[in-house]
Amino acid sequence: MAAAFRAKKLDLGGFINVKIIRDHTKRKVFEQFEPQRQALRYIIRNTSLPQRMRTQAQLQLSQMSCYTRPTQIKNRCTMGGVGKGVLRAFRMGRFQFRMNALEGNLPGVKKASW
Amino acid sequence: MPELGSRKIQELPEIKEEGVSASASASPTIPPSPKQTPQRSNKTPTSRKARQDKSKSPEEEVAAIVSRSVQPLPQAEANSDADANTTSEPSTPPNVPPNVLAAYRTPLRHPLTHGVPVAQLQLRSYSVRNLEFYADFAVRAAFYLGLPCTGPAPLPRRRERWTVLKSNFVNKKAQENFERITLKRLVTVFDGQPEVVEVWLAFLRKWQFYGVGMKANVWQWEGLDVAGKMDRDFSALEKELDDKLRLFGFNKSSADKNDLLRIMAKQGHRQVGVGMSEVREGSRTTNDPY
Repeated sequence: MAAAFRAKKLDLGGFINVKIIRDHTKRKVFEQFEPQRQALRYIIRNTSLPQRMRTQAQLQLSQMSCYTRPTQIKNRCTMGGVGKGVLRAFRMGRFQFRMNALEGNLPGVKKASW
Repeated sequence: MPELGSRKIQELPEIKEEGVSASASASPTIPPSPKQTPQRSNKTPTSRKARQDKSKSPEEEVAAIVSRSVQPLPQAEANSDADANTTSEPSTPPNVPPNVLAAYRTPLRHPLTHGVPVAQLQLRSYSVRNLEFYADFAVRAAFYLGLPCTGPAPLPRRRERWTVLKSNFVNKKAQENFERITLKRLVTVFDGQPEVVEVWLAFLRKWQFYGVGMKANVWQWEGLDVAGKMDRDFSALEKELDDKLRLFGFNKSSADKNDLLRIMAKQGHRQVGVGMSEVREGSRTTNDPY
């Protein structure tokens, strides 16, 4: 299932491993199916619509691939693919952040002392 | 208190031409600038003295300085252009062009005429040197475009801190702190024509400095008839807009989809004994859009 969603061409820069590719696929699939998800959500929540239609929409929504869910998306380190301890501002794991900061690759980031 | 020295330099040529017009009428307009350079460098100490002993208004002070510097000029004009540079006293400091001299002094400013702010430029950087330099540049550029401005005023710094483990795995006790301080400066421009402000911003954009981010808020006055003005502007823009709009629209394959009769036939007309819910059921497409 997941392989069917995978893009033929990855628009990824930086570190690549299977987890990064999987996350990339999830982002793409979510983007593609977002309008459909929102339409179904609207139908489900709209109490003026017939109950049958709403239940059908519920069923459809629950049967959509899990890759279309936004909760599947996880920020990963662009330098090492690490999934935990990723700094949002730099899109890097904590250790990569430290190495790059000490090397001076991150503008303005310095060792702090106060 | 802005320095007045380089303002004096600016005003010299005009007043000299007025005062010595009788004698200098024959001389071409270009020579005065090299000839005045020695005069200027000589007069710099005297102008400082003048400012110290007299606490006049800036305009009077400038006038006094200019009148002093103008008097020796006829003698200088008696000399030929070639030796005008060499006749200056050997003990004086070397000739410095006024624009170079101005760079060493505090930037000049025009006084506010109405005090209506028209633009605010916010500069941000992680580096004080770059920021200070570019803020100074912005203020000078505003002066030479005739825009009164205030600033650069320091705005609160944004300090971001991160604490990370030193190791790549476990050992929570060994951590390291990092920080990034964003410095900001604010230059406010007053009483300028919108076009001039645009020129100022474009100039700063052209010579933007590395490591310095810029953000400008611009305010303009608009008449009550805004809609009418927009209509008039539109007629001028219409042709360009049409060229762009020609690129948008429905493609040929969607022509039959948008056929009104076809849509109505698909929906089914409301008839006796047919509820609206039926019509709606028919009109809804449940096809997967992908």
